[in-house]
Amino acid sequence: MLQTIRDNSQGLIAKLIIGFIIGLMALFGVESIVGGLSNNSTVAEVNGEDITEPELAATVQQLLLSVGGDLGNLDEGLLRQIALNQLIEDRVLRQNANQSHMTISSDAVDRLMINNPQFQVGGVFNSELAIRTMATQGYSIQGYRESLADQMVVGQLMNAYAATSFATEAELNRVAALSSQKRDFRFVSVTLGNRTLGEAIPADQIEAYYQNNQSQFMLDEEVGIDYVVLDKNAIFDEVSVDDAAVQAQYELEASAAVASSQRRASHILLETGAGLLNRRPSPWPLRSRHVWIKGRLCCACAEASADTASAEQGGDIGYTDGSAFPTRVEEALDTLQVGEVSDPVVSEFGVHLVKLTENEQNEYPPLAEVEERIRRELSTSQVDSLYFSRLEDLANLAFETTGLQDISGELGLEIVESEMFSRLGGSNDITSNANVISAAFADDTLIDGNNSDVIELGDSRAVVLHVREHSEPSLRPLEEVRGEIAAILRTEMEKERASALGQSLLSSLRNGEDITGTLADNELQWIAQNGASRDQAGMNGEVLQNAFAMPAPAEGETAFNGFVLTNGTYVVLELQAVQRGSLADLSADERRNMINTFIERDGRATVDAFVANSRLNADITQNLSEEPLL
Amino acid sequence: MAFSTEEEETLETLKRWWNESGKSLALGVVVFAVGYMGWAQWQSMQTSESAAASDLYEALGTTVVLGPGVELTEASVASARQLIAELKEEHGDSVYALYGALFGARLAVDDRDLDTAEQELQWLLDNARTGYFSPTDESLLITARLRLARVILSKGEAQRALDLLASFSPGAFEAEYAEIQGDAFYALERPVEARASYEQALQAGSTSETLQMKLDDIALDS
Repeated sequence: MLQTIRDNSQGLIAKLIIGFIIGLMALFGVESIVGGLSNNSTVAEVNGEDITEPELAATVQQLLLSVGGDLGNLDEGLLRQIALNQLIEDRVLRQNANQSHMTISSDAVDRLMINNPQFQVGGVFNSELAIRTMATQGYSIQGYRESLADQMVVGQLMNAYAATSFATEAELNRVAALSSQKRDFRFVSVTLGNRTLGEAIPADQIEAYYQNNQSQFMLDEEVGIDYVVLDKNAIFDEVSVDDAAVQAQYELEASAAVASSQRRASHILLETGAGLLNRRPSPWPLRSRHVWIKGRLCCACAEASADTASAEQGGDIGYTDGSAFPTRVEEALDTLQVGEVSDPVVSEFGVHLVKLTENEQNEYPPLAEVEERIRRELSTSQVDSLYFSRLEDLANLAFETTGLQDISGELGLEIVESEMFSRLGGSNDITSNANVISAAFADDTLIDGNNSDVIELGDSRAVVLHVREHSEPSLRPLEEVRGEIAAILRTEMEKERASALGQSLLSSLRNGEDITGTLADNELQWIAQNGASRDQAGMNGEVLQNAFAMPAPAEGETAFNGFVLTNGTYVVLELQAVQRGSLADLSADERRNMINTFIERDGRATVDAFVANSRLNADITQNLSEEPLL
Repeated sequence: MAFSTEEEETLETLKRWWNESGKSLALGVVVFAVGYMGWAQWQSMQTSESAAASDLYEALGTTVVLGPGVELTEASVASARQLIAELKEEHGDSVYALYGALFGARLAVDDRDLDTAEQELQWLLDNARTGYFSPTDESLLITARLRLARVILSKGEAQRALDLLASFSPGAFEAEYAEIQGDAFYALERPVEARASYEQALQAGSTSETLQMKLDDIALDS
């Protein structure tokens, strides 16, 4: 086979191909060929471009930051889906911009960066700050510029659709005619009353209703639990801190504070041996005569120092907490008063003359001032350790024993009996806690009769529960619900009666008959409403909505309609006149408002449709692992 | 430097191989390099051309796109017009010129000059790129056509607006499309078709607040 390949690779075409590959590698490196093969788990693909898991994770993080929550309270699967959706949309838009050959000039990117307040010190661009800020956000300069350009280009695209929307005069007139129109109408409300008073509700109807609607009369499955609560706050009362411990803690803190005292020193370094001759041949040895006079170390002399860096600072070598300088120097400093110069001290660097320039000895406040705080802190740590050890005991006992008696005995916790509650939870903060409820209804506790695991409520309370009583879902007996059913059936009958009356009124009206008599007989009356607007205050919203949903009657005529409200009332309505609104009737403010609302909505709808259309035309595959959504 | 016989042989083979196929190999590399550089050059020309248009468009955006409730001054309208004209004249084959025309149409409508608005949108459609190589984005064309239909309808030429609408399919812009269609039918006093169109818009998930009112206004007696 190798021979065949060799034979075949002699042709001009084969050589051109090899040349091509060599050229490709020379210009773009090995990654151009190998890179395509490496695989970073992809969660989606948009027109052949991958969205990787790390990108998704970063977006989820940003999303979390923007809502200011932590993952614990949110459904992670849902969050990932939202983030992925955002990424896909972003990718689709960017590709759309690229396909349209949109670009951002590097000048424009520069301008944006220079004007970014994040990169400014006192209103002036600072390149060091910029580079540092980019780095903390995880960007190289090039990477940052690219992502900025991407954002700008998508912004340009959005502007093209959103900021170009308009409202023509004719369109605004139509909207004004509809939205600010006023209607004259009157209506009769046939409310539920006691029209069926005295009519018995037959027993067989009640039974039939009971049989057909059993689900309405089911009692939920319920449990009653016993539980013990381990409460950290209760442990505070048990703990007392003895004075010796307070004293010991005080001394510990005080000595740490004193140890953090600082001294500041200056020195002259005299190099010895070869270093001396090579670096500083003259004339300092002559001048150094002054130096040996104790107490006379001064700036001029310091210039003679072989430590040129400190010499420029007048010999200052900064602060020490007792460990910064060579041991010998530190020892010398210990013996000095501020302003004194030491005898020559030898270290690995040469011979020093050291002067103590500042001596800040920290003083710790007396015990009386800090005792209260120390006592509190000591007891907190004691309480914490007690709490955690008991928590462990609690977990062990809950697992090893059945029932709560032993736990109660060993840990001195009171057993509390709860009321019966369903999966919706009980009345106090423990029986309404979601974790407690799910533990109470778990097979392990409910069926096997075991203690639950320790359920932590926040970080200072923990609960163990045991199911005391359990009731299966059950159908309430007919006798118990007979009254309820009778009431339901009575309401139904009343609704039917009201509707029947209303409908007969409506048909009389449509036939042009006079209904005054019927209204009087039933103690009903017309309620007139003239010039009502769509958002008329003080009107029943349902009536208003129905009045405006009716087609306008012809000039000089009226139209009738009847409808049932959600509370069962039947309304007969006569629409008498419609006054079209007009742009001219609006105040300048109302007009401006209407235009802005119209344009804004139109812009938003256009952008939404644009994004949807771009997605429609893109080839998108998602392989986000489906997590069961609760 | 002396070579062993074996090395001499390898060297010989290499020399022979070079004599036989070196030239075509070199040719391959040269063809590739020239091709690549030409392509890169063309690309960079395209990019700088596009970047110049992009800068103009960016300036247009800063002039016209203001915060909510801020009104354009006459001076900024004039400079926006200037920028749009420059985009159309000097970068006519760039997508930015098409975006410029959208802005031009908006400014014209703000000015109640529907004829100019129509011209701007028509210019966009006439200058859109078709064909296999980077055709103009479908969404842009649909947006321009829908706005053109609205302008024509507002001029009172409902039938022409309907004809325009019938000439293309709306993709994901169905809700907007159907509502404009309904408006045109309404203007032509064809309530049954208007109602059907409005219902279609409602079903397509329209966010228009006036859509339900329009529908109610022509509701047929039940």
